[in-house]
Amino acid sequence: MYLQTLDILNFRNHKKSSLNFSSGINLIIGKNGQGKTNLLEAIYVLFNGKSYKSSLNNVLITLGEETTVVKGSLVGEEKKEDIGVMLKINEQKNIKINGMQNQRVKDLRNIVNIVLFSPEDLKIVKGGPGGRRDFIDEVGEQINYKYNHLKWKFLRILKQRNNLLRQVIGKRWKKEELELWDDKLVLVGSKFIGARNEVVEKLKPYCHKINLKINSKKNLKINYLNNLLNNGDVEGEFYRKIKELKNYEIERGNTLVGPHRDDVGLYLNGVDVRLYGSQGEQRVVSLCLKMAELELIKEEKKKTPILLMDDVMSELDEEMRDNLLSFILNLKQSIITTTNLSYFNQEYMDRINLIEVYGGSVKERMCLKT
Amino acid sequence: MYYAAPVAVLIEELTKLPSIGPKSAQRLAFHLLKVSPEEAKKLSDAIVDVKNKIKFCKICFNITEGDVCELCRDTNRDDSLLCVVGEPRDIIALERAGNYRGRYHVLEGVVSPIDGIGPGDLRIKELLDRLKDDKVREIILATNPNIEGEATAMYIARLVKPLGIMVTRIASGLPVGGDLEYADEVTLGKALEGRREM
Repeated sequence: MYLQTLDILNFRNHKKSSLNFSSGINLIIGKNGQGKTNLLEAIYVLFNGKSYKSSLNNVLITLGEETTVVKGSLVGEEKKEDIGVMLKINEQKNIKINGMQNQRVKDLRNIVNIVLFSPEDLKIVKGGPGGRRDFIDEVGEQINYKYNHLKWKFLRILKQRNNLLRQVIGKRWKKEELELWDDKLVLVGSKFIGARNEVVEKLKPYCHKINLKINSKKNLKINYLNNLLNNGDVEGEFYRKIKELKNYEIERGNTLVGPHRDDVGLYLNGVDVRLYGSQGEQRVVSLCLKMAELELIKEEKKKTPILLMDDVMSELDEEMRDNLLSFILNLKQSIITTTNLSYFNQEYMDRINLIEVYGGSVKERMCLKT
Repeated sequence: MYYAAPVAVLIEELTKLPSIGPKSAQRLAFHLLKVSPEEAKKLSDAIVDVKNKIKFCKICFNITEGDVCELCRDTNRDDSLLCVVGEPRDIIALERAGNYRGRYHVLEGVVSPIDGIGPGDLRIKELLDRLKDDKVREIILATNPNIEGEATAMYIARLVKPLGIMVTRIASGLPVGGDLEYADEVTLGKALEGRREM
């Protein structure tokens, strides 16, 4: 499936824009601050019901307006789907699929998945472990319908247990109560560790393959870092560890073992790229992770996700740009923003659909496609 | 927004009720302004009455007018079955189902450290006291199937099992009369796990 039309109303600086996309590569070109990224964000909202930039929906609505609407129609081999998301100030979002109101985000994802690469994704490699856990969870949620429930359940238990840990000091009977939450934490936590490990293991071959294509000659390895996994018995190890650290946990009022403290190791030619990679290497690795996500979802769901890329070419050298471009050419659909056409190899130009954005409106379309 | 002081107080009090937001509270308040003084008195009396007359049953902690509730007084009920629930309103739901003829025990809550509720705040000691006369053969744990309800059930199971009494947990799965295709994935997964031989 690919996105054929997009209609947006009162979305950030776009008062009213209508766009047509083609399958293959779509290039959104414009100067800084004209609303290129806002178009990508609108597409992201259309498929996720929320933005990747802000958890507040209100900021998406053009200042002074009360409602924003993003609508799109998707075309597949056999059928057509019309989807829409309406956001009102301080109200619940309303997702509409083929005329039916109040649908779920899950239903949108069943139509087609979206993979977005934006400059912020550098944090997956460069930032703290939280960003890497979020990345793994984002992949997990898209390929395993149980993942989100498991994560939510674990976080709730964690919150309850942390609260209890803070109450234990000075009250003896709370210690026995703690055993109850220990059991829940270990049971659900071990399952969650298993689910995360599975996601990383599945990503592994794709990371390697994509990296070879884009970052030729170098070898990328991804590893799930959780010391409970060292021997086969996660549950037993989990129990042993929290028993060992119990007094320390009570002192700190915080759970110190579990999947909420996971990290993911990333090694480029054997060197830890999180610590020793250059800015450029870290950028390429985060790009490879995202493309691996796309390939994995494609394999698991038997449908190619739509790729959104926000201004990535300017950070890559010419060789990598060409490698990336030849990878993207094989996708069902990609929508890419750029400030400069010269980043794109001229011989591909006849296969690219060009869209120009100026001052929050889609000023003109130059369709070079033959 | 400006209201005359008594109206403002009424709205404020109504907003404290569960599932009533500021707008609903305002609508209710303006409705109450319109009704006859007798009607308004009836409502306020009913609220005061409920607070004065309703007590908790000495045996099962269900709500009752006397010392012991109707369900505990009913001699036709099976003393060997005991169903443990979180709140009195859960009894009403189970009684509506109509096919349970045993006794009940209300915990008056579930464990939730976030809300500062531990096992010591629940009617668990009273539950264990009830088991002392050896009448009960089976305990059915019917707390809600959420994290706090499951944790409470687990806690009680651990206390009761050593006493040699059978402990069961209510099943979770598909609603009767529903369509498979409309069930959410997690519920459907649970239903598959809990399948039975025919």
